[in-house]
Amino acid sequence: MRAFLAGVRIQFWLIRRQPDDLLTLCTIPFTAVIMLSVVIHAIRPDLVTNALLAPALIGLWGFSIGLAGEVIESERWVGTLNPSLAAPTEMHSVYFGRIMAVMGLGVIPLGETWLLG
Amino acid sequence: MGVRVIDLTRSFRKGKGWRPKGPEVTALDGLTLEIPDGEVHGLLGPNGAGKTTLCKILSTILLPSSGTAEVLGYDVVADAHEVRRRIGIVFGGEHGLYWKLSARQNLRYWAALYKLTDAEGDHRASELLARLGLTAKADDLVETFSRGMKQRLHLARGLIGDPKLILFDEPTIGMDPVAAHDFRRLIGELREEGRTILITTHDMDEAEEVCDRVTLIDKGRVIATESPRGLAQMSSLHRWVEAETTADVTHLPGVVAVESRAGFVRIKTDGDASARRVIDFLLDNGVRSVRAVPPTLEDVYLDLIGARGMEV
Repeated sequence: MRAFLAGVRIQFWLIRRQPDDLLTLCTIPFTAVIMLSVVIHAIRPDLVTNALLAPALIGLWGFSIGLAGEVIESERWVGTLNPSLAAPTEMHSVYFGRIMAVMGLGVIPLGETWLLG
Repeated sequence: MGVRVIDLTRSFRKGKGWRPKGPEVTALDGLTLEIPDGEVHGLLGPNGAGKTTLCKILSTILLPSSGTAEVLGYDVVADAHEVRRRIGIVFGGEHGLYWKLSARQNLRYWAALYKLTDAEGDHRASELLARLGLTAKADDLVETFSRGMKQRLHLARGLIGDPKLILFDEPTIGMDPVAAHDFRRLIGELREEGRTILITTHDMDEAEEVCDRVTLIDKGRVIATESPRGLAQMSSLHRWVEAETTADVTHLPGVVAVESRAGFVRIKTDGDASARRVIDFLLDNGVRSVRAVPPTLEDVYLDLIGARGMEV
């Protein structure tokens, strides 16, 4: 559990230092407005749910692919992968923590679109 | 025994993908090495000799193709977890740290990976930052650090788990002379604490100064293991003469090479008789000072491994 929490903590530290990673959060409401306007203009109230869900899923995928998918790659890039593998902690718990931290942020777009809806 | 490596081989195929189809390369070729507890051991060799591969196998990052390697009595394959609890690794260069985090945050993260509690990690991080003179910069981002400061932080990271064996892979790359001197002093302190240290380096002065014994390796094989002084004595191929003179000695028989530097010349001869002949010649030709000197570790290195220029 300690390794998992260490992973969550370092991911939040890193995101705080690189706020551009959170850019997706700013684009979600605009995407939702565009989708809604298309649906409303087409007079298709049956698609409103889809129009709101789609941006949320785009946000989730954006986070999961853009950040979580890069965790290992960035570890290699900054040269921390080798020393991590030589540490006594099982690294899958740490990386699971890091990825879950990112995925947790991915839930924010759901809240944004729900508020918009 | 700190490290025991028996007939260790590591080979791989060049190329990309899961199953590279390129030619097979042997990085380590039946390497055998023993390092007693508490020894500072230097690993010297040209680029591609297998130094880093050996470090990676000893730190459980790479698996050997054949042979055995034990660290502090634990097999690096069968008891990898026990090995990891007892070692620290320090790589040279600027990689291996999170630049967007502070020095303290970096150390707290690594402390967690070494299974220290938050309180223990905080305490250990503060202790190491003070020991390495980084307390004033503890909360600054690593990206604002100089190379020497990053290298000191690398060192702190390597020591965070209180390791019994420390692997240094070219640790003084990028350090200025003052920082390198401090690093050598720190190695002395770590030796006094009873830790076993394995250093790979290209800096012969550093190896001569800090290592109890050195191993020369080339093409994945051990060429010699000795104390730096013992290695110099082993190298019976050449004798050196140092003189303050402007006389030309290149025409004398037995002179292999002459290096001139700031009014001094270092003359490499092919044996005792030639060295005596050079000294006699210089005394007859108004030399200001002359002496026979033992070969340095660098001389021995070049003798045993050979000057191969830029070839790798």
